[in-house]
Amino acid sequence: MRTRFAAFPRLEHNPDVLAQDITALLESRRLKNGMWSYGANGQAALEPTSFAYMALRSGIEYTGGLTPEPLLRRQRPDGSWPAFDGDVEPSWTTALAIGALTTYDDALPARSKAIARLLRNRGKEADWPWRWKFRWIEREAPIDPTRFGWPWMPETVSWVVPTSFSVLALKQWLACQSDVGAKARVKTGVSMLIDRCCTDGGWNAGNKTVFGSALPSHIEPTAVALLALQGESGSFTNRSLEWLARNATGQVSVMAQSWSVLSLFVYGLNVHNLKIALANRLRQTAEIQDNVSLALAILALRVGEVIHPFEAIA
Amino acid sequence: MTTSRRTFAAAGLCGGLGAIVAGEMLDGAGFQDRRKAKSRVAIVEADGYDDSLEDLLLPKIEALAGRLPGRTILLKPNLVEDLPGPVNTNPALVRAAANCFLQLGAKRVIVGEGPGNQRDTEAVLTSSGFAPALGSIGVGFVDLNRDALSLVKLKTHFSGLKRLWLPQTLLAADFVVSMPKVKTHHWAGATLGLKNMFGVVPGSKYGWPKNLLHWHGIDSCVVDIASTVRIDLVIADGIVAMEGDGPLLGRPRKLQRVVISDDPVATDATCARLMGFEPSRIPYLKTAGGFLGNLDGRRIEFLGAHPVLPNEPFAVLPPFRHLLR
Repeated sequence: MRTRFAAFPRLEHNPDVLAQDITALLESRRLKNGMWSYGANGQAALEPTSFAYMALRSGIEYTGGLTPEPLLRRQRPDGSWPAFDGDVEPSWTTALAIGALTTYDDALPARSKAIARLLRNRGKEADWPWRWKFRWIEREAPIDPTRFGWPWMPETVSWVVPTSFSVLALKQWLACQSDVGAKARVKTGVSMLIDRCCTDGGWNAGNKTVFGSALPSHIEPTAVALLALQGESGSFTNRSLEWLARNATGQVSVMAQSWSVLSLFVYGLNVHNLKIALANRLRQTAEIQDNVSLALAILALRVGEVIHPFEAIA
Repeated sequence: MTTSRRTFAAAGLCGGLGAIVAGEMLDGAGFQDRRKAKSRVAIVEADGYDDSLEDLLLPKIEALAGRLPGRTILLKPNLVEDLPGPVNTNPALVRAAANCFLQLGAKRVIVGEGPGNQRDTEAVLTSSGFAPALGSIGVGFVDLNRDALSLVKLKTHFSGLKRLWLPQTLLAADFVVSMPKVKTHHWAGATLGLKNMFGVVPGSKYGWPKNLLHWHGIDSCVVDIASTVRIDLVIADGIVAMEGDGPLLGRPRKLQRVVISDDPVATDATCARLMGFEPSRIPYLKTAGGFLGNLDGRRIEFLGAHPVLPNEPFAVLPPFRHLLR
């Protein structure tokens, strides 16, 4: 059964007022079970819920009744989370749920369990004989299989976005824990991201070339990979940062603009004009149906004023 | 990061076709041979993506679609990336088709797609021109990557998969139209009406790209999906097609044809012939031709023009030279 959105609120040009308005809109879309769906379809999903938690709890003034229970109830016995209600398999959203629970002290056992699961989970290319296959047989889309990361779901290979969120979760974990296993996985995950970097300096889903042709980069995976590479060698990230800064201007989607702001900000670049462009885009949009975009827009509009959920101390 | 064409051809096809005979890969609960005695295909000549498209499409859709009043129509275009060139189904063709269905009495028309590489659907919609094209006629878009999902038992098991989560918008539609861009494809040889249905598999569950399907074999998954979800009509955009290094980096190729049929296998076979390919050399098409629809030109009746083989076949990457007639 489809639910209907409340009417889109008045959107002000001022980013601060705008952020308040869309925060109220996001809160109004919370489902009765405490979760969020991607759009108006009413099926609770981990990705929009995790980003909504980050967006709503990032402000120190937040006093809403957002408890960790809806997320904790959905954690699987192995520490992972499924992608949506009804699904039972582990998914890439485990790294996002860890991020959403970071600010809850009482969620530490759940986070520990989830981190342990992240450490056990790896792309299929990490295992023999797949490693051999990717090194010697399947060379149409060449990858270095010794540099593996995290898959979207079990029994598949590593891709840029799930690897980036997993590296981020582990780096944030390592900020207050000493964990040799986590350090090793961060190192391998970072090397996988570097291996998958496109020839233009950015990232796409994870295929930099196919049959010898270079594939183009996209904004979202580039921004997310750069967030995961915080604290890594400057010479490499500088080229990718240049690509993102150059291509962020002129982007028309809320998701691309928001990720650009969030990523460039942690590297100390001026994001004022990008925030204005995002505010203008939001003002022109009749209705943002996607709750992921809405949550990211809140975080981007308030970047620098609230907790940055994707900031990682190396 | 995919099961190669060679792997499927060797292991899947030889074993697969044999298994069709044995009935091992078809669902045991009464799966039927869907091939008609004769399939009807219309080839519409069109110079470009202008306002005349609607008038050209209307009589063919009316002839092939059957009863439409009161039905909810889902148009599933091929919407991949915000790249230059004929990467996506042209929005003008989708708009024209939507208007035709509304004129023919459809209760509602929805456009739905789940881009396979790009998670940012809004960026793809906007840069491809779909957002303004659909907005101008009040037709809504559903992001199939992020729709509510239901677990569906597959009707064939060439891939080894038993079930897939599929979007409820797709499952609830009364009439589904696959609207591919006619393109070469660096994994499958060609992407047409059957392969286009990969886009209904949700990224929120299976990722971007839909890597599980690659691991289980693109060709076999194409057949399993096409045998499970309804494809009531195909409207293939071959006005400006793509040759060479498709589906992303190929060159534009003016074919100046829209191919329409209620048999997806017959549509794809006709498109393949227009591209200068031998349809039975495309592995998924050969398998689908065994039970899903008509591959054999003798079992295809053309409404109007017959396919004319090109003077120059579509350029292909070296691994696909065997497709050429």
